[in-house]
This record gives sequence, structure tokens and C-alpha cells, in this order.
Amino acid sequence: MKVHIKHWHAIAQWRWDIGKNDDDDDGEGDVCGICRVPFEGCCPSCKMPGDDCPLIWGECTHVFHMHCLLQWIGTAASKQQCPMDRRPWVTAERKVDAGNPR
Amino acid sequence: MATDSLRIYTSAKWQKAFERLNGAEPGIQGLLSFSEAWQIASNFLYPRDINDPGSLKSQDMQRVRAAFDLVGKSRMLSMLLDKFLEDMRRQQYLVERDVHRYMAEYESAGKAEAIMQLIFRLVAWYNAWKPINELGPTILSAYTLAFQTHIFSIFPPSFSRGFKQLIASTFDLVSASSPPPWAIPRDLPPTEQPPRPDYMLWMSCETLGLLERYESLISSVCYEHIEAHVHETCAKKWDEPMLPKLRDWMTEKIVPWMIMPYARGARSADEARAMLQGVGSRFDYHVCKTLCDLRIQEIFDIIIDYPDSQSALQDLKVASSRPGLDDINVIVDRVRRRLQECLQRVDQRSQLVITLRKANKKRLLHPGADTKVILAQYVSIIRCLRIIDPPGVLLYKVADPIRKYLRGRADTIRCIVASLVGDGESGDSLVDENEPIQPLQQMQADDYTDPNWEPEPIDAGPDFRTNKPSDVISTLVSIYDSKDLFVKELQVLLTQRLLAVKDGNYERERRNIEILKIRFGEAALQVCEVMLRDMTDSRRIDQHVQAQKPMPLHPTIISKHFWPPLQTNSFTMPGQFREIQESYAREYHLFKPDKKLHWLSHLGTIKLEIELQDRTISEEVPPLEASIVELFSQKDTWTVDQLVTEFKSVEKTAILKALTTWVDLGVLKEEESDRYKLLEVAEAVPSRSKAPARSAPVVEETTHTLSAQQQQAEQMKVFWKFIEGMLTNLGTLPLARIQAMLKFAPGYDRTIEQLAEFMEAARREGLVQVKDGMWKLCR
Amino acid sequence: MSTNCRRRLIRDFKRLSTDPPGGISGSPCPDNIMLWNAVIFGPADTPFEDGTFKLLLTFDESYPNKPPTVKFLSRMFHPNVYANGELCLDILQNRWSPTYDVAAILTSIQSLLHDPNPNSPANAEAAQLYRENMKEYVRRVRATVEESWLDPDEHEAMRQEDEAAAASSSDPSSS
Repeated sequence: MKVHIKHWHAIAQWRWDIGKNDDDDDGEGDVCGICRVPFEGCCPSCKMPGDDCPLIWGECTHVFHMHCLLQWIGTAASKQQCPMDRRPWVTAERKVDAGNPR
Repeated sequence: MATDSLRIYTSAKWQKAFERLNGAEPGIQGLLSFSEAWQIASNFLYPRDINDPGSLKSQDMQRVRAAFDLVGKSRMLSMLLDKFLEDMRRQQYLVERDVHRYMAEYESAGKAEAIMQLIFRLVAWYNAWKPINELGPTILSAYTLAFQTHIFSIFPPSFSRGFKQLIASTFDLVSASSPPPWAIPRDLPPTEQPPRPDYMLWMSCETLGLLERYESLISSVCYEHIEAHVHETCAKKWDEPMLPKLRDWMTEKIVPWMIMPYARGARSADEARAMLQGVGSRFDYHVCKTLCDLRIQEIFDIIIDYPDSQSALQDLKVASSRPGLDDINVIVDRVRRRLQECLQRVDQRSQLVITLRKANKKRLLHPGADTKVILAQYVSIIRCLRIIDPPGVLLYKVADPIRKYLRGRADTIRCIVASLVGDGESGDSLVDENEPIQPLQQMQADDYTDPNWEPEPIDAGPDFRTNKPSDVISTLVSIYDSKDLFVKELQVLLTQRLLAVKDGNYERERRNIEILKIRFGEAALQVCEVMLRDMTDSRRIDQHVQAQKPMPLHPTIISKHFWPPLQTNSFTMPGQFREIQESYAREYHLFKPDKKLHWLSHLGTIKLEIELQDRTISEEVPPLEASIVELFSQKDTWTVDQLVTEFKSVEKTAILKALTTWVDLGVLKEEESDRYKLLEVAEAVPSRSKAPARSAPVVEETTHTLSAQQQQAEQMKVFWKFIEGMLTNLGTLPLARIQAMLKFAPGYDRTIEQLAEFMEAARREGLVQVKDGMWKLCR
Repeated sequence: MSTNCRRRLIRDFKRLSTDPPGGISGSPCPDNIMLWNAVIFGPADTPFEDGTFKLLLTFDESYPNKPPTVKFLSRMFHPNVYANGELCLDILQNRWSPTYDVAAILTSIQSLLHDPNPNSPANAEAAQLYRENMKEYVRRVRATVEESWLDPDEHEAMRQEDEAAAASSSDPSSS
């Protein structure tokens, strides 16, 4: 017997690739430490998740919604530090929007 | 012992009496002529037996008049009257005999004609015994009174029944071309034609004082006549306005009839009109009331028939507004139809509410009725009652139990939402195509600056809120305190639809969402917007991926948190399926380096072509079925237990069902219990013959989403944590405050009543206690 | 109107309610989500054990990019708590991070009860007793523990008495 696939309509979810293997997590998933909204949701300023509300990776490996982090970095109290470890924030080049055609 | 003075007094008295009778005549001449005159007069008046032809008065009227004159002059008329009345009493048995005779005739045959004959006969007696007019009105009226009193006293009880019957016959009589023989007295000279067929009847009745005595009986005959006519012509006749027709009928039939009993004496049309005014408006009112009562009794079915029954509702609206002080012109001239709304008849309005509520309870709000049917009838009720009562007081009172009932039904929201988005088969009957789409309306406070503002009807209860004629959808959505539940259910429905889309065409859903945005507001439907955008993005991504590497796989890629919770009993697909998934995911990751794909393998459908030694089978199946047949391509025999192990998280029943699908298609065969084998060559006896015809498609529309109500039950568990927390912090709280705080909690959309039930349940479990309306935790 | 701050506070509330750290509890006022009441139960094996200390947290729209104002409503005797109930805690000042939420704040305060920091004293007397006369320190703390059990009304009455006394004797401790 041979099984040929003619047409396959499937359903998938997209996840941010934050370097974790999360094959069967059914919970909310990881949340942004600042707004506490899941990464795959959107930050309080956005309406559309995903490419419109991207993540930002620090060299310290910490990840936030980009909009949340930029808002924090914009305050004087932040002293430009990562909210997680208080190390000076340096955005990791590797991940930001690479390959996104827009 | 007569004293002189007494003797003198007596003699003077006597002399005076003598002089009165004797006059100035010499001797006793006067006395003699008085005696003769008295004889003539009393003899003339004597009530004779009209059955005896010999007793007829053939007197010399000149002598009689002279005699009366003399008696009058002697001031003895009153004595003469006394004697006459006394004679009448003695002769009464003659009349009584006739009454008994005619009444016996009536009672045996039951015909009103006998009553008519009796009346004519009594008139004959009356006329025969009537004193001449020259004696003056006093004597005449004393006679009439005595005669009437007498006949009323001898009428048997059956007379009023017969009389009623006779009056009832006058409605036909009045329109007869000529009076039937029974309606004219036998002794009426042929030359003397009555002006109307019923003329003699009414005039005779009046002569005997029957009209006055039986006044209420006559009007009740008319009331009954009206009722019978209304029921006969209007029952179940809802497709045209009946009230104007009834009024025409009043004008053509009842008003002419009324002239005789109510305006006989009128000397001009104006005078007649004035005389008819009071009774006429009473009858018109009765027409309205009867029609109203009839329509109220029919209201449930009228509503079912809506909109074909619109005319009936218009009638009800007009008829339930009291014609009030409108005069007879409404009927006579058919001019004024302006009705005074402010005099709305409250009693009939409440009767309508009671009747409709009762009918709803009995015929609608029971477990046997489909929710769709209840909703449809509710919508009709809304539309119908708006016609009758635009301010909505009646609707408010009738709708309350329906809304409470619907709130308790599990599938109410689903039904409303389905109709909102035009659920194919059930049609969008709830939504009127012509109704403009508008934002949901909240109950509004009165706006007194509105020039069209009108005070609430007087039967509006204190809890009545003016429900400005808002659209039906707003009214339905307002069954629930929060519109969030609808949005959630909408999301569930949209999910089912979108995930079933295979040809990439979801324009209808997009259009629906655009419409619903107008109703629910954009913010509420933001989630749906994301869902739609996921659809667009998926297509764009798929086009890109297919351009890089053509694959049969076309996924819908969804944003996890913006779709309702999907059942997550996913599994790993075997063989080529997994390879394709991985290949697709790689291409995706190349395209979107920040993102990766997480397959929900159990969802979706797969069109397969299965190539066997002797045949090829094409079928569209769910992923589990596809996975199982793939496994059989690797190894031709599997036991159920092996498969269960293979699929880990999948339930055994689901696997058995998938196996059955292939058995039915003749691809697999159950060799022995729980052991299946691939049939490379079809078996001679088609296994299909014993299996029932597979009319249902393999891919069924299973709900992979939890309904909004299931989600609700889950949530309540979470909310308990909130309640526990706030009672810890704040000690004791009244229910309203707990409700207010829970409003902060994401997704909380319970009513305070639901919360009260929940708290009560918690109290029974001993988690909380309540005192004077203050809740606190049990320690 | 739902602002970013409010949305975040709702999430904080959800987290605190569904997964509360031990010994703390908090919730917004029904009519104002920017104002929170909280209770910290005195940690075991400390002089604060069994105390139920009430706090008030005041947020503004810049939360979580700025910390809330936190104040004890219950009278405290603690080296890092001022007489007016305000407290001296670095994470509520210069070491604030937007990743902190209400649960984190309350947990930090709870651990402050455990381990006072006598180096940045807000209450000099308490700091001194903590260093030099632990027995007296414990006695004074126990008094506040017992006071914390009182109903809010009684507590308020006592507080007013205290304030009246403090006003008449114009703060002898600091002079």
C-alpha cells in the first residue's frame, strides 16, 4: 500500500523562538517580565501580536516585548539597565527582525 | 250626646256638600243631574272585556263629555278616578287571562312572536281601558301607571327571557323590506303602513312602559349582539384591519337600529344625534373591548403568525386605546378616529400581559421547545408588542420571564450568536434584513430635552426602564449583563468556521466581523481581528513556502492567545506526515527566523489517495485516521494496544473510531478482536454490505473548542481565589463590593445574581459565612 | 478606560489571587484599582510571628516603570520602617525594576521583617535595640503584633491617641 497525500489542511501555532524547546507546554507560555503578558500575546500598547509587536533580545539573554523594554530604558530610573539583572542593556543583534522582509 | 254646636257643624258640612253637588239648581235638581252624570261617566270609564263585542263603547260622546264636565265641576273627578281604578282592579283577571294564554303559547313553542302578540294584545287592553284625553294628563298617567304596574306584576319570570328574544330579533327586523305579519297588530288597518318594519314593536313596547322597565336588558341584548358579531367576523382573521369594518357595521346596522329604542322622540337629525351620543359611545366602546378581548385571547398565535398578523396588532393597538370622550360622530359620521392615547385602558393592558405570560409559560418556556424557536418567538413578541405599545411597558413585563428562562438555557448564547452571523441552515430569521445595523444600545435614562419625549405609561412599574425602540439584537444581547460572553461565543463560532476553511475563502466571516464591529464595538472584537489576520498571514506564508518548496501541506497558523482554547490532545504524526511537517517548519523558520511552528496535529483534514494492489481509494479524513493508515503502510497488522502505545495521548476510543473508518472503507479488516490487518486485495464479500451506508462524511464537524459556557464553569474556580483573597484583605464585604472587585478580574462577566448563587454554594461548603449581608471567610 | 498600568495591575491581581506566595495577601480597592490593601502575616520564627500587618499601596500611571508608594497602616516597630508607616527598602527606590509585581513587592517586605537592615535605619530606636538589646526589641515588636490583631476601628482609635500623645510631646526620640 502506498499512501499519497493530496492535500493537507493543518493547524499550527506560531511561537517566538526564544531558544527553548517547548513542545508540549499548554500553559500561557513565557511572559514578558515587564508587562506580564505572554510573549505570543502583545504588549499593552499593541493590538496585533507577532511581527507588529516583536521581542527584543539582550546580550544578557533576557527577552522582553520590544515596546515594553524601550519604554523602561527610556526612563531615567532605568539607568539603561536590564530589568532582570541590572546589567547595562545591550541588544543582541542576532535575533532582531533578521530576515523579516518588512 | 250630640251637642247643639256639633249638630250645627254637621248640618253646615252637609249643606256645603249638598251645595257642591246640587250647585245653584233649585231643590235637588242639581243633585239629580249630578247623579246622572256620575252614572254616565263611571259607566263610560268602566273597563270592559274586549272579548265581548257587545260591551263596546257606543256612547253619545256629547253626553259623556257633558257628564265629565259636570263631575269635574262638582270636584268629584278624583272620586271618579278612584272608582275607575277600583273597577280596573276587579277586571284585571281579564288581562291576566290573556297574559297566561300568550305566555303558555311562548313557553311551549319558544317563539318570540308569541311575546309580540302578547304585547299587541296588552296594547289593545290598554287602549280599550284608556280614559279619554279630555280628563287631563293626571288621570291618564294615573291610569297608565296602574295598568303598567299591574301587567308587570303578572308577567311570569319567563317573560324577560322572551322579551330579550324578541328584542334580539329586532336586529333582523330593522333591515327587513316589510314587516312580517307577526310584527304588526292584527287590527291595524291595511292602509296604515308603519314607517319602519320594527316601528309597531317599539311603539307598543313604549306604550306599555317596557322600554323603560327593561332598559338594561335591551342594552345587554345589543352588547351580546355586538359580541356575537365580533367573534363571528374577527376570530382568527388577522390579515386585515377589522376595527374599521366593525365600525362600518355599527354605522350601517346598529345605529339605524338604535334610533327606535334610543331616539324615538327626536324631531330632527341633530336631536337624534344628541340622544344617541351616550349610548352610542358605550356601544362603540364595547366593540373595541370585545375585539380587544378576542385579540388578547388570540395573542400568542397572532404573534406566531407575525408579520402576517400585523393588522390584528394594529386593531389591538387602536382598540385598546379607549375611544374615551369621542362622541357618536365616530360612528355616525365616520369622521373622527383620533384616539386619545393618554386614556389607554390599563385593565386591558394588564389582561394582555397576564394572558401572554400565561401562554408563553405554557406553550413556549418548556424543555420541549427548541431554543431557536423560543428566540424566534421572543423576537416576534418584541416586534408585535412594539406595534401595540411603542414605549415598551408591555414588552418589559412580558419579556421578563422569557429572558430569565433563556438565561438558564445552555445554548442561548450560541443560538443568538449563530443568528448574528447568519448560521447557514437556521437562517438569520432573528435579524431583520431591513433593520439598520447599529451599535448595541444600553438602557438609557430619560432624555427630557428630547422633544418627542413622552411620560411613561401609568402602568409602568418602578423598575421599568425606558427601552428606546432599539434593535432586536441589542435586546437579545441584553438578556445577559455582559456582552463579553457573546464575544467569546462568537470567537468560538468563528474558530470553527475559520479552521474549516479549506479554499482560503473566508470573506463571509470577514464581512460578519465588520458588521459585528458596528454592534459590539471594535475593541471587543479585537481578538477576532487577530484571528482574521492570522488567516491572511497564513495564506501569505504558505504562498512563500510553496514557492520555495512545493508541499501538499497548507497550514493555518494561529496566534495562540487570540483563539479560544483548543482541545490539546495532540499527538506525533508518523512517517511521511511528520517529515512534511518538519520540512514545512524549517521553511517557515527560514522565512520568519524569530518564530517557529508548533503543530496541532489532531486538527485539520487530509485528502488521501490510497494505492492498494487492486484498487485506489480517495478519501478525506482527520489526521488521526491518516496517521493510522500510514502506520499500516509500514506494517500490515496492528493490535489496538500497539496503536494506543504509538499515539500515547490519544484515547483508545478515538483510535477505535479511526480504525472503524478504514474497516468501513474496506481498507482494514478486524482479524480477531482488537487486531487489524491491511487488505491489499479487496475481500470478495464487500464488508460494506454489513456496515450501514456511510452517508456521513468521515470528517465530522467536531467541536475542538470549548463552548463559552464550559469556559465559564472553569473560570469560576479561578474567581474563588480572588474572593478568598479579598476577604482575607478586607475582612467582611457586602455582595455588591465583591462583585465590584471581581469586575477587575480578567474575564469576569457574572451577574450579581450568579455571584450570589456561587457565594451561597460556598457558604454551604463552609468556606464563608454571611451575617447581615456581609460575607466573611470561615476560619 | 484601561491603561497599560491598569492592565498590568489586573495581571498582578490575578497572579496574587491564583498563586499567592505564603503569608501575604493583597487586592485593589473595589472602586479604585490604583489603590491596594495588603496584609503581611508576620513570618514564623521572628518576633513578628502571628502579626497581621496591613499595608496600603498607591500606584500611578507610570507603573510598572516606576514603583508604587508603599506604607504600613498597622503601627510597626522595625528598623527600616518610619513612624508614619513608610519604609526604607531599596527595591522601592533606586533598585526598582519593572519586572517586580505586587507579589514581589510584598514578598520583599515580608523578608525585610525577617532580616532587618540596621545599616539604613528609618527608626533609630528600633535599629539600636535590634543591635544592642534584642530582648527589649522583641518586647516592643510583640506589642505591635498584638496591636495588629485589633479591629480597624479600635486600631484607628489607638492610632489617634498615639498621634495626640506624639503631638503633645513633640517627638522626644529624635532629639
